[in-house]
Amino acid sequence: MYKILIFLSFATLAQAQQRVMQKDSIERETELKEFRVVANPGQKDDNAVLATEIMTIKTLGKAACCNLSESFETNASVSVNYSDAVTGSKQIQMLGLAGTYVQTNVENVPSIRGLKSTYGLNYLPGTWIRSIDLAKGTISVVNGYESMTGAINVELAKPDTSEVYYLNTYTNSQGRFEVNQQGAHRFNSRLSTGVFTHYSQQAARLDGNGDGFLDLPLFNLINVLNRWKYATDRWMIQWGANYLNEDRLGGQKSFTSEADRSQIYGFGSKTERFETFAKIARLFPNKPYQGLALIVSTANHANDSYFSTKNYTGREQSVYGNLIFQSIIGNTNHTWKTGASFLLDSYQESYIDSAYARTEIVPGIYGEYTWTIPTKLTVVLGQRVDFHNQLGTQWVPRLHVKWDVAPDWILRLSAGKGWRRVNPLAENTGFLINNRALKLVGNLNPLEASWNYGITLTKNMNIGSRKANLVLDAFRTDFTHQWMVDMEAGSTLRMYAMPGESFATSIQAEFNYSPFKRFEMKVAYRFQDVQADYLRMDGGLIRLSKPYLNKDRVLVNLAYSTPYDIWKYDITWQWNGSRRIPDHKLAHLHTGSIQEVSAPPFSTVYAQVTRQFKKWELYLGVENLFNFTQKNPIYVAKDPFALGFDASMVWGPITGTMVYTGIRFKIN
Amino acid sequence: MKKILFLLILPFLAMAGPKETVKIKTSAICEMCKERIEKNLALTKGVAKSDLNLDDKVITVEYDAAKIDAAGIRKVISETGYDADEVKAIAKDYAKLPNCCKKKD
Repeated sequence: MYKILIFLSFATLAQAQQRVMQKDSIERETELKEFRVVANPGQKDDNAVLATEIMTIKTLGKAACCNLSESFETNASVSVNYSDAVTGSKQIQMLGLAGTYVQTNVENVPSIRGLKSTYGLNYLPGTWIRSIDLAKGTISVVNGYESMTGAINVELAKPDTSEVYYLNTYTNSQGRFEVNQQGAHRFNSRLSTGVFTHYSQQAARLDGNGDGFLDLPLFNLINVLNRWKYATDRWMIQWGANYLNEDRLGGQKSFTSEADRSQIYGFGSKTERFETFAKIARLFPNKPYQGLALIVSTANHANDSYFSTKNYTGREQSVYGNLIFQSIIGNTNHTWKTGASFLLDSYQESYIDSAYARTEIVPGIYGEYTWTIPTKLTVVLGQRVDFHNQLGTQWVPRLHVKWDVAPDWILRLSAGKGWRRVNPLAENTGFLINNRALKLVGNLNPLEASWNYGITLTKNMNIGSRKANLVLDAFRTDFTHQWMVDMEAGSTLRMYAMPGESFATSIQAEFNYSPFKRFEMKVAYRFQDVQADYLRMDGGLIRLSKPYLNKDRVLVNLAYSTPYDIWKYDITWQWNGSRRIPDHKLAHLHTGSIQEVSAPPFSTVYAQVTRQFKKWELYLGVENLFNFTQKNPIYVAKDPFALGFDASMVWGPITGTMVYTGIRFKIN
Repeated sequence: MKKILFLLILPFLAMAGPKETVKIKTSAICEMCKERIEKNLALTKGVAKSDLNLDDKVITVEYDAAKIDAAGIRKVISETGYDADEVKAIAKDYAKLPNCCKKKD
């Protein structure tokens, strides 16, 4: 028990994450190594203070996902959409708000932020991922101030528990090919290392809808990670480096990188990124409740892009540090954490004929107190203050409560503030694929800040002798500052700081049930209402529901496996309700008197079969089974140099039915 | 589409052949051992069914004699990291077992 406590405490610190977001690490690691899954269907973590969904390797295996953006197909809380019909960039959306308001960490190191947010979801290979923790609302102040509507923490394969060699291949009917290799080596009981490599390619020029544009950009992506782990009773140190190189090319079918970009519409993007990280935890074997941890990471990002004749370059150098100390007051029913963080972010960007440069320096301090009445109540109160060199001092209070109301009834409450600094170009690249004139209007305060309140009720039950659970949640986000991207006037793309109100309400019900052995079903319904005040051309305000967001969504997932998972079957059906889209007529100005334009509801189906053999697995799957596509993802596609050309009005699938297959091969 | 149908039907096709039964004493300790051994056997060609009784550590295996014999089954168990009657566990595979599955000495 004692040993476990030590391990627990150091695992906690080393991952610089409180119990709030994580289960007992020991349990988790064995669970993942053994490919075992927690007993309750639906993978809700009943011990966590925050409502946390855990997606284990098993959940992720349900759809052979290539990268993080494709990992949410069986998840009810997160939607993934293409940001436009040309670049292939994907964005997630949670609680009715864009992925930029979701803090995305990799092993508690801030990961998808800054210039990486454009294609960041595509940059994390699925086979590297061991589990994903998904929390709605704000999370602990220890992790920073950027979780405005939620947080995703991705745990990668660990060098000391991974297979000696792992090979994964993937190929699909759209001409995408992918190879992932992982090697791990243990030098002794303390030191281990892992090398993960990823190569993927979109080689085929695909134009399924016949609009003359590639449905998916061609790309080549190389991604290499080397990580190390050193663990003793007193120290736990992990460090590593990641190199990424990507080349994308899209646009009209006949476009090549040598073509004349004033004659043939073309898109190109070259990205090179180098990251390093280190996590050092000092443990106190005699005081297992105490610990000190330091997280340091650096990133160097370079992107050169063009959207037809419009050139964009972006450079970012970033250094992040977080020092955390944890201890107790009297006994472990009263624990506290305190620490200091530091962020240096330097950006140099250019677009067409303008250059933008800025350096952000953000030192911050925080404290968090956790009060526990075992098996009854947990209250976490956190405060942090950050000193931003451009945006001034920002105060972030957060409160999380978990109340075990009755056996099998859990109530969770959360309230808190979050903020961030917007990156207007990198976060909105998709909106640049058109001939709209980009206009920055009026107040250009780059601060985004919001309050988020949430309530989650979990009921675990037995139907007959089989387990089931029901999760009901409601979340509300109220912005005090937000950067608006306005496509409501026909020929312009306007950006400005929120002139009025902006809010999002999301309500979700999810039911998980295992009616018989090895058969699991999930049925979920989500409602969201997202509105904001937009600036009219005459200076007045008009309240509109945010475009591209569907109010209603239904997800049904059925999974069955034969004994010992020799055969696994999985099918997911998603129904997305109708949604408002901006009126693309050139002369259109939003006045409120004109009939709104909306996109039709549609559904998509994903299915997969996996056969396991002793040393390897074979999978075969299909995406978008009913072949639903948006008919006209690009307006005026025939004349991309005319006013009115617009590839940023995407609300549905661009590509039709796709079949994929691949293998997973392991040497233990 | 045909491919998918074929994959769906395949598990039901592999259900024929005359069955024999063998009882093998193993060095299994816990639930996890049981699952490991049974799973590895399930993935072995010719094994139809297996059930390990943790009280006496004896596993009952039903198999197709045309595809595998009792010695082959013992070999699979030893390669999983456990003793199977007189066949000792392969040391390299035993080393990979989680701690709870190792003999306490």
